Amino acid sequence: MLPYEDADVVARNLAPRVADLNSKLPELMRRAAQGDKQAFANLYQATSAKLFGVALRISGRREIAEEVVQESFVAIWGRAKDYDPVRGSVMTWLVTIVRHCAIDQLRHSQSRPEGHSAPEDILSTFVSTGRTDISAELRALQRCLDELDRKPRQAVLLAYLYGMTRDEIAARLNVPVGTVKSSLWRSLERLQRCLGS
Amino acid sequence: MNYSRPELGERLAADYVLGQMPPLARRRFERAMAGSATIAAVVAAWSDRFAALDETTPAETPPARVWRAIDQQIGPGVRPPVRERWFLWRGFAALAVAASLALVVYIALNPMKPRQLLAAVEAKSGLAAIMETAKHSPADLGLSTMRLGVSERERPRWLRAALLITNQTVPLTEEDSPPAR
Repeated sequence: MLPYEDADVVARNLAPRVADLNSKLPELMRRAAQGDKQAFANLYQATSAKLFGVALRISGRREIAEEVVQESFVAIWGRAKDYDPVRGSVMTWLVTIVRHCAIDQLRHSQSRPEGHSAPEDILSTFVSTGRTDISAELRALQRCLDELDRKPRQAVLLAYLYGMTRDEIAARLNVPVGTVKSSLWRSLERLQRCLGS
Repeated sequence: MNYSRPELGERLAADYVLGQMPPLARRRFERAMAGSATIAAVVAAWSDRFAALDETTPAETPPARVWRAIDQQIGPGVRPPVRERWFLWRGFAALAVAASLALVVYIALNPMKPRQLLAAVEAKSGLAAIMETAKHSPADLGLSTMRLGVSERERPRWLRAALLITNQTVPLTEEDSPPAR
């Protein structure tokens, strides 16, 4: 199909720029770990927009998302030495810290953000708008998520995208908490098989 | 907790990546992860798989106050991120270019013989004696620091700058002077 071929061409053209960004992050991390504050500032410059987006998605409120990014980067500065390039990309490491920080803030404030759109809407809107910059990884993940039943799929997405607890997912999907726990695990097993690793 | 059982490790890794661990359990798990390449690899694999979902989230630049707060918290001496610094440098650069242009125009419009210039300066600061020692004064250096309204204290620096621009090296202050022959 033509649109897909176009998308692949665009994705190939975009790839080097994404690779440029990703390739300079390990060096910035390494220097930040040695106390190089300029490198740390550059790391912030290169990654804070994406991380702020993630914090906004989970916390649902700007002022909390700002706090999350602030707290996360202070933690990143303090823990930069813990980053081990052998154990995954810089971006994944940073996103993990921001997600956990945002989730802790949510638990702490005991209030759930309003107006979270259904996670599948996010995904389907994103994929169906004909965006040309969707990675092969996201396509593969989307394909494998589609193979799951509806509620288990929603449970996985609510947990990852919004940082919801099992209790919250159970309430939202109207299923027992125990079911959420086992279905999350089964879904991950199926995803793992589907993604082929 | 025994983290070395493979299945338990996998489950905990999944819980960790999906954000299902309470903070204390998470910190314990992170310590275990730091000491076990196996657990770390499982977590990294899961994190990377789900990282693709973050593509669906629009990026948004946080307000500048966020960096300022981080900067303050991690200690003094951090320069602002590149973009802000770039604006700063652009400002400096524009100023420097404007100043150089003004100087060049001034030199072109106000020709003045070095002797006159030196006499004028001598009257105010007694620098002429030092200037006299300059063997390589340009024949027609057109600069009058007097007309520029430069203060007496600043004058030697301006003269030096002007001479440097015309590729002359002239000692203008006691410290700059070569040792007496």
